[in-house]
Amino acid sequence: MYLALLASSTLWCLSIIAAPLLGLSGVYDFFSRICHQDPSRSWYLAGEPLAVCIRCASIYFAFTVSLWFGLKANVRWLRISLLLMLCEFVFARLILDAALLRSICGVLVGLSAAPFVRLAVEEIRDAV
Amino acid sequence: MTQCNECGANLPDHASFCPQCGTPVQPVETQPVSPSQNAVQPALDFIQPALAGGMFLGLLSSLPFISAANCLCCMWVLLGGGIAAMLLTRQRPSGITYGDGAFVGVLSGLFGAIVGTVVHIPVQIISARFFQSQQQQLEDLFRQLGIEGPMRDWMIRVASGEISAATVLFTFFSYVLMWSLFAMIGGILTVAVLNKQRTAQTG
Repeated sequence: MYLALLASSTLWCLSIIAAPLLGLSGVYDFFSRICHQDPSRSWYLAGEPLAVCIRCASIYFAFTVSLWFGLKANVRWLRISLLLMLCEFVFARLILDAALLRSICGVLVGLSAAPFVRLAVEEIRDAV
Repeated sequence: MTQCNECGANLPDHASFCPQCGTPVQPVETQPVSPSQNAVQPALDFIQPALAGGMFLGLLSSLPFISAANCLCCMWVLLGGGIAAMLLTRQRPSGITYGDGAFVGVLSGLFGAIVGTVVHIPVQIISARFFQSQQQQLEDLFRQLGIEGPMRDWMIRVASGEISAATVLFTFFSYVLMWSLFAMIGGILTVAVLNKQRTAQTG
């Protein structure tokens, strides 16, 4: 099950990259349900925006990296990263709205959340 | 079996350190167990929390403008899964496992997908009427913003508001896939943040 999680997470990230490279409008449509896809708040590849915004892309890529490297679960880091992202989201439009900040917050959430998802998947596997 | 206070991982008997996060394990003092503490954990009812979470995320993710909050990584969906996990925790004050949180999250995502698809149809019809009257302005706006290629194609398709069996099915299955996934993550993270995991026994 862990391999399935790893494979699906990797496939998820690859589809985000493949959308602009291969011009897959269906992938944009798919991700439009969970992301605003504002081109001005997205990274570009081959002249086209990625299928998700910078914050989402940072979360997904960091999530996958965390799974690949087998990072350890830490509740404290999870709480801190979620709080940081919430602050960044609330104050971004008012004080400081920077792609780098969005990216860092997304990376932290992705890195800290993935180990807990892995733990849940392992628990389900053990229960089954 | 005991759990790590830091990450909640199951610990082997007599472990000095958590194999998952390396946190030192505090020795557990043996205390006499009262009959009430020794009682079998009540079975968890996943349906009601999942229905509540599903209604929450399905409605808020489908209504115009309000659904925009999903721009923050599916916020309504994550919250819906989180609400389901919180309600499930109330049934067992000793805490639920990450697996329980994941399961109730997936269920709430499934219920939410049904609610969301049903709400999506009238919303799409109403918004399509508005956009059809504004189609030329929309085209001009895309040109000014420099939106072209596949991004422009799907935006036009969304704005056209076509309702067919294929679009409804696509909407439903994409909701099922995405909302189940994100609600599951919401459930897991809620269990983790609340640090409610105390037992590995699934009800």
